[in-house]
Amino acid sequence: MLTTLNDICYVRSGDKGNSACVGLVAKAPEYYPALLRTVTPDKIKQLMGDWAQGAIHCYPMDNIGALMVVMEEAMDGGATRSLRLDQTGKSLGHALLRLLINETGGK
Amino acid sequence: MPGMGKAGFPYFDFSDDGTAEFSKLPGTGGRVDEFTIKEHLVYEVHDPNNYAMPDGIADFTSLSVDDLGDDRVRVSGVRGKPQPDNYKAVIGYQDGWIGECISFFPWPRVYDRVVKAKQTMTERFERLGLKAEQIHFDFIGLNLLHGPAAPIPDPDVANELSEVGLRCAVRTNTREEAEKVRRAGAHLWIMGPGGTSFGAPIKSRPALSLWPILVPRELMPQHIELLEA
Repeated sequence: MLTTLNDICYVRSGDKGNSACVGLVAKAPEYYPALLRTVTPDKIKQLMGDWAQGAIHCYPMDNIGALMVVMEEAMDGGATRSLRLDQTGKSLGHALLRLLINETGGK
Repeated sequence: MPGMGKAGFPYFDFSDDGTAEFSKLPGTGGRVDEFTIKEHLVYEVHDPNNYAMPDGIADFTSLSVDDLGDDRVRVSGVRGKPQPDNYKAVIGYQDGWIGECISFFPWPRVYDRVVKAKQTMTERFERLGLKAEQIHFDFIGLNLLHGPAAPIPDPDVANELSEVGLRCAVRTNTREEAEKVRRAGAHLWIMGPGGTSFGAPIKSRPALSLWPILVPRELMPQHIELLEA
């Protein structure tokens, strides 16, 4: 049974200045719609709490079945001044894999 | 993923029509397939419709990825826009200091120990009169990497873990203040919970901040000379 994003996506994540950049790639084309339904700025904000302080953008990539997530002001000031151990957000994307799959399309 | 310890860099054959075929040398580790290529297309690109580079702005939502098998992938049809009017430059400047300390605690009641250690550190900071811009605590093994996104542990369950660590990082204006963090960390040996352990204390380090700016292209002329022997 598929329950979390971890079951249907690969992830690659990193940073750009004070923004976290997370790429989510569907493991198969049939999972892409569920990926788009599941990952919304509201859900991400709910999950990341005060670690994501700015606007959150989701950019669909229909051509490769992927979604780019950009979280502004989510790097504690950016790699060179962050107090976090993971200064460049390499592991931050894996947190999104905790999101529960939205099966129905409802909010 | 096979042979990750001997993965080299992939190469690609680039055609006049903009098509690229990615592959890797026989006998090297790693894999070139649909998914490893897609991973790079989403790596730190920000808006994939407008990936700005000095030579042009690529639209990664326009291309096709075809897995040809045998570690060969074709990428074709990529579109884009002309080169941007500005270059990006990043100016770094020193912006205070960071003091950091890490300690570990053993089973039994390991979660109680790490919570007590955090409280003790906070008390030490008060006694030392620490002037901090920001104080950050992590429980290593519980929320170091994912912060608020990591599930809050049930204390009864967390107390049965074999070991948990406490990490504290503090931003200060001066080196002297950052050194107080190292001292407070070392004080845990005497004042912290039983079993407090840590290796060599971590040196304070200067913090850099970045100031990204745009520079008009015409202010940055480039000259290329090819020298042939």
